Amino acid sequence: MLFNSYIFILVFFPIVFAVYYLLLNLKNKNIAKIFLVAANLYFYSYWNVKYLPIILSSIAINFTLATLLNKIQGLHLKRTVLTIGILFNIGLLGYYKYYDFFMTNVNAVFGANISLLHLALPLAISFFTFQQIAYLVDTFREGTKEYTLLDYAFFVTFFPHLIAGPIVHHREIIDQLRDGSNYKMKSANIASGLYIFAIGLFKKVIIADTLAEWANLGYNNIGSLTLVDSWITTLAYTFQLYFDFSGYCDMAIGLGLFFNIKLPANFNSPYKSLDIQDFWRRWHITLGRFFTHYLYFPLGGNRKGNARTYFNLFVIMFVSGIWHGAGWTFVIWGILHGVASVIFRFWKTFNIRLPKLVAWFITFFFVHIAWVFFRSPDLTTVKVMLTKMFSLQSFHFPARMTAIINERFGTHFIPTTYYFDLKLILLFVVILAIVVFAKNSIERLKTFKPGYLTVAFISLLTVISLMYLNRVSEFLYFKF
Amino acid sequence: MSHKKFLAAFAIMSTGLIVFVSVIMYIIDPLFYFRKTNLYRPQFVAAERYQMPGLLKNQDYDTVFTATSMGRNFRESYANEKFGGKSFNASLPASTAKEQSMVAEAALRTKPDLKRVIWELNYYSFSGDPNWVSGPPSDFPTYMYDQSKINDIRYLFSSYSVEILKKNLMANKTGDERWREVESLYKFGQVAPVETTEHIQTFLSNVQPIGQLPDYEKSSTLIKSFKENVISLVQAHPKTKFTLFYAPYPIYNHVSFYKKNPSYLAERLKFKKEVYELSRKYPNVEIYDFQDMKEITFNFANYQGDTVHYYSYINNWIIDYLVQNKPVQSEQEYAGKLKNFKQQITNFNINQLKMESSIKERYALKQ
Repeated sequence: MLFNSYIFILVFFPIVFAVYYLLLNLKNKNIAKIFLVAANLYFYSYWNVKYLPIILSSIAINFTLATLLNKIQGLHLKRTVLTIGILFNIGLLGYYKYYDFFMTNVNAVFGANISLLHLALPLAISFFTFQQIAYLVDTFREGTKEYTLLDYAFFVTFFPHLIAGPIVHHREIIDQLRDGSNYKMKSANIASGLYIFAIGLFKKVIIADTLAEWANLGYNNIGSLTLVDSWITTLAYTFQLYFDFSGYCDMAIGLGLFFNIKLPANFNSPYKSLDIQDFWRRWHITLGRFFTHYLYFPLGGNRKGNARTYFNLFVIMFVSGIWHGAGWTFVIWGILHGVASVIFRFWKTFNIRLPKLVAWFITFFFVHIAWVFFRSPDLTTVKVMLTKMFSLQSFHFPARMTAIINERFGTHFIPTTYYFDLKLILLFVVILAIVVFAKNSIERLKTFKPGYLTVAFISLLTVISLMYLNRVSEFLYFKF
Repeated sequence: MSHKKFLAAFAIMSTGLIVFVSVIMYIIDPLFYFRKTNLYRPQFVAAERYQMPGLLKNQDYDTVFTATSMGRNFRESYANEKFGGKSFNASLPASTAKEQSMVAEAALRTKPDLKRVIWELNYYSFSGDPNWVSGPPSDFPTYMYDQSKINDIRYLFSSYSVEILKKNLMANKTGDERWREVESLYKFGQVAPVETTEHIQTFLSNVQPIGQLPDYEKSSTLIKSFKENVISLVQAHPKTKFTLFYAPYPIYNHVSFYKKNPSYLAERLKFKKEVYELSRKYPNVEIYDFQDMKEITFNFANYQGDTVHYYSYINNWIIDYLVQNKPVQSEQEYAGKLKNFKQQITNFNINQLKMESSIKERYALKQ
């Protein structure tokens, strides 16, 4: 079920919250934890119960392998077990997410006729696979003997982060589970959780879903777009993605706080970035952290010379692209970010500082163009959209302006009706100002103090969002 | 302010806001669900599934139509003239059996003396779980058709209601006179593309055969839904006459399914046979089957260029037929009709189609 649905907000969450805290009154806290794990699994199975055995077997196999790693003494044998574990996780992801993409290309290149699996992608597989790879690697490096199966299952399945991240490090959750003070209701955490959840819900339901309507309209009617319309469409998507993802992260953090679990920040005003490296420190922070610790560093990071550093940087961006989706548009999106990261790294060696506005503009412009690849269903759409965005042939003056210009200067411009209302540009200016200049929700959460104005503010946000919940849509990060 | 007070204040304030909005919406009633409004001139701009519950409650009728788009073009004024009494057409495009059943149930609930339900039996409508209703983007608002008052909050506290209210007020401000007359609502086909033999030929040659019929297309699924959605109402309302009919789809539409997989025909014939056998037990049910009526179904002049829908004069023709002809009278007669229908499909040849406008002209003259 979606966080932005009546069934979640009015039924699932209140029941789980109430029963969890009731069960915490029992002496044995494990009963409450078992209940929450069961609730998490119900939440996961709500979409399709067929996915349940996949996540259950993934948890069981990874925990068994980690138990083995904790017991084995010999380094060689430990390495073998770790390799098996990583191959299992990558294999699971590869089978469900990439097999058809790979075989489609093999068929196309070699004229083969290998049949495709047409499997539905198990929900959240990209997220729980990475979390468990990190767990195996850390068990290999430093051991995790103190973890119980129950705590481990709690960490993997905890519903606030289960479906679309953040990609939580096992210690971040399990250390909090081992802190006895977290097994009682804390009104401060609940108030903070409510505050940031309400902000996230509003971002998703009101802002992102409204922007999505324009983005979808534009992409679905790409042939009718003028140059201006194509920028309206792509900007709508750029901002939609921002509010969708940051809204989701806010909700996840808020829900975690209801259970006294602090989830890591995943999003920190990425459109304020002044360079591409800065962007990746602010966008999907926990994914970047995973790639840095479990791919970039093992590849040698920046310790093996410039060429290797550039290569490693490129690799993590390339893999990040593939992680987001099994398709050429995502591959190219990853390559673009990889090349941009390498160029920036090289540029940094000259120690030249660009004016802030120029640096911001280059970064935003690049990220925006790259999102066209991310959003488009195929490369043909990318080509059409980019052509529209940059070809003067697609440029037309608005009808009224055309009439004035033709009358004054005797020109023969053809009047054109724009697909979108140009007032949207003004709206985008306001949105841009908010994402660039306003304090983000994590910063607001840090300074949150209960007060009448705040309560009125979040009550209003919640009520408006609840009213618009019937525009149910999926979070964009669900498919990754 | 303490955190506890903050939480309490949030609960009070948000509940207060929800109640406030709901009360306002109850008074304004943008979909005219609770009552006919005197507050402003209504315009019925909402999607059919949302507009219909209010109309079902507040219109005056003793006969109700429940159907898919095949029934959408029944004109109440024409039906009233032919049947006598007052009718209301509550057909919903692509409606499922459950949706049609909820429409009939709502009509029977608000009009206890309802004389007749005219119900189109469409294979599509029955091809699913008996409780199947349409989902996003136009979810079927079950809460507006059922008896529960509590779940009406979903109508009262909904952005869609605000949107419709806004459209209504704007229409009154700008003098928009569309969608004011209930009878003309949702009628379609006035500007439909014309059907041609080339189009039919292309349509049939593009049919992709499928290896196996999906379970939901089998007669067992169809009949289960029929029993739960139709027979249950027939049993509960013995004083109401239920006129069930199979709409006269163009013959090439049936042929396309036969080409897709011959089992479609076998399963559908089985379904029809079982429906007849089940229905004949009830004196308040009658069945009309127009699908083997060659004078209509082989004449592509009667059809819009979408290989599915007939023009609205065929709806008038159906009404006339219901008035002038008896329903299926015996098992033997129906077996003969089904055999005829089967042969028409299995022996179909595109050269058998004709384009002849006499029915159209006859009805054009009548109008």
